[in-house]
Amino acid sequence: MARFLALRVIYMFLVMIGVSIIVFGLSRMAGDPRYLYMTAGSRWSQEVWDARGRELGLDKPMVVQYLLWAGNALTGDFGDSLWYQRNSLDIIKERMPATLQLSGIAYVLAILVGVSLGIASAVKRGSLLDLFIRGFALVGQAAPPFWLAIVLIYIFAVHLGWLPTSRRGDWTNFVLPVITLAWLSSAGIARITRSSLLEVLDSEYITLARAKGVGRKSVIFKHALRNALVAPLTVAAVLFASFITGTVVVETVFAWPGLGRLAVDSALNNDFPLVTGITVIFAIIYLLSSLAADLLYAYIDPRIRIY
Amino acid sequence: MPTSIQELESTKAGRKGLIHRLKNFRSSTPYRIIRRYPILPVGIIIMLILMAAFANVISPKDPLDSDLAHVKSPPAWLEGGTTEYFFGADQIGRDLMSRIFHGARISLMVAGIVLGAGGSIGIVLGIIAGYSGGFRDELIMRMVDMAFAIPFILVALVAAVVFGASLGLVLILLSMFSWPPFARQTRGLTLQLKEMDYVAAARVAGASPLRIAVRHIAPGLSNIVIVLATLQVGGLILTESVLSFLGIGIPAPKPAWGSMVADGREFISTAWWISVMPGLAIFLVVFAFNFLGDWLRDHFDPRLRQL
Repeated sequence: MARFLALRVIYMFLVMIGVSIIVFGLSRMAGDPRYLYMTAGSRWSQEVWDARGRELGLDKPMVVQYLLWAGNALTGDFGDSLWYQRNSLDIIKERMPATLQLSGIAYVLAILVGVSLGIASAVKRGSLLDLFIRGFALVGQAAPPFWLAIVLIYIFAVHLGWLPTSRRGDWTNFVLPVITLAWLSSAGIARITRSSLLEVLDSEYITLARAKGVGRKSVIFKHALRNALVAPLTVAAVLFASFITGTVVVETVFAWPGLGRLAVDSALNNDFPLVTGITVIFAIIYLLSSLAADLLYAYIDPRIRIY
Repeated sequence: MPTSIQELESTKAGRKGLIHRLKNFRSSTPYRIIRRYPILPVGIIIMLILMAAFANVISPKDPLDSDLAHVKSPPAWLEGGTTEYFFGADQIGRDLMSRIFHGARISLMVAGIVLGAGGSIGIVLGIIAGYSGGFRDELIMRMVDMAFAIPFILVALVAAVVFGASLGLVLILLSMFSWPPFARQTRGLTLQLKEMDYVAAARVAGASPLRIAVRHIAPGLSNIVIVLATLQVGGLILTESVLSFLGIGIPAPKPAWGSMVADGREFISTAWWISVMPGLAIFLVVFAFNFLGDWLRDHFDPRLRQL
């Protein structure tokens, strides 16, 4: 297990370096990178221009430039935001809680709903309930997240007037964003739980348990479920990636003052320092969560630990 | 004897009869055919292809022409709607139906080009990794892991700032992130195929590795590639629409479905159809491809079940 953990952590750092090389590489691919750090329409005097060049190490080889950039990023210095004229990391810190609240609640809900729907639909296979749950999952997987959000806003905020359309406030503001975000993720979880539980229920040890007279509930929850839940866990990491996309979209539609919306806004404002800062922070959160998922997976399924 | 359906439903026996009829329907021939063959999804996909191919012939209007007399004109079946603007008109009076037809063209083109590029890169790398093994295998598979581990949306945001949103950028970004699944699956199957007797026979007969890969291994991969490509189309169309919705995808005034939904966001309380119609198109198309992909997988390659 220690070996597995060590390999996994090293691998995480490698991916982190990969992400940073991509972000850095992009900044050096479109002409003089100084333009990316310049507010649109502003003019720099020759001295400022030269000084910024030295700061970015433009007279030095690419490797040194990368190390300079990465060193700054490690200390949390991505440069001042062009739009807000303040340190990027400070802005990110202010926006972080809103995102963590929203996505935390949605994630827990997605797993609870997804797993229970998956179980219900596998146990009642072929019933109307199964048909309904599969429809729910199908919609969640095929509907564009932004469209689902807009349709929900139209029905519950505009048409029925039960809930507010956007922004942050009391708990009513949470309902629609959380439902949208959770629906999208729980669809995948429900599908995988269903197919994996069906597969397990087909295996011989389940037949044996039934044959020796173990009750139906006990067979499902004690014998089958433990094995069946390994599959949904394996996709946890993949799920995190779609969850980030979902957060970005949902925050944009619901005008949620979090990191996802900030990322889109600053991309549209050409605010390069802020965008890179958010990307790196998001990537770190993402990699830590998938590390946690992997460790949990290795803990549950010992076969994984032999690496 | 109950004489009308209302009367039938009002009696207890009648209600039982209704459930009975529902169950009857589920074992009837039309229902069984619909369940067995993917008629509905194939129908949607054929319609989509026709829409895309003949967009400029069947469109009632120019997708970019705005008519200020018909700003936010509702769909034909609503009060105030005209058949001239069948799905209604958007906030500057452009015909939604024509825009949806032309949007189909963009969506299909993006999916086609990306699948062509990403698919061929993935297949070639997968065969190389699986057939030659060793260092090349290790390198390619680590690249695959890396690509899976990097959250796509974040790279897209940074790239949009650096290069500016454009169709070309969308194609490149999506291709960069669509080859890994192909490489992974192709490699797995190549590992199996290269142990086959006929491959050994070809090697004994003096066939070069290139010839073995092209003539003896590649044909065996066709099932897996077709299934995987179909399953990917939906995801690609969805991702493209997310990028366009956020404003970092295909730039206006091109009628991409995602940006059409974004256009209507502000007018959701007065003109819901501007957002809902193109979103519905995305949903139906993604649903059709996912459904068809699932069906193809179950029938041609059940090994892919976990995808």
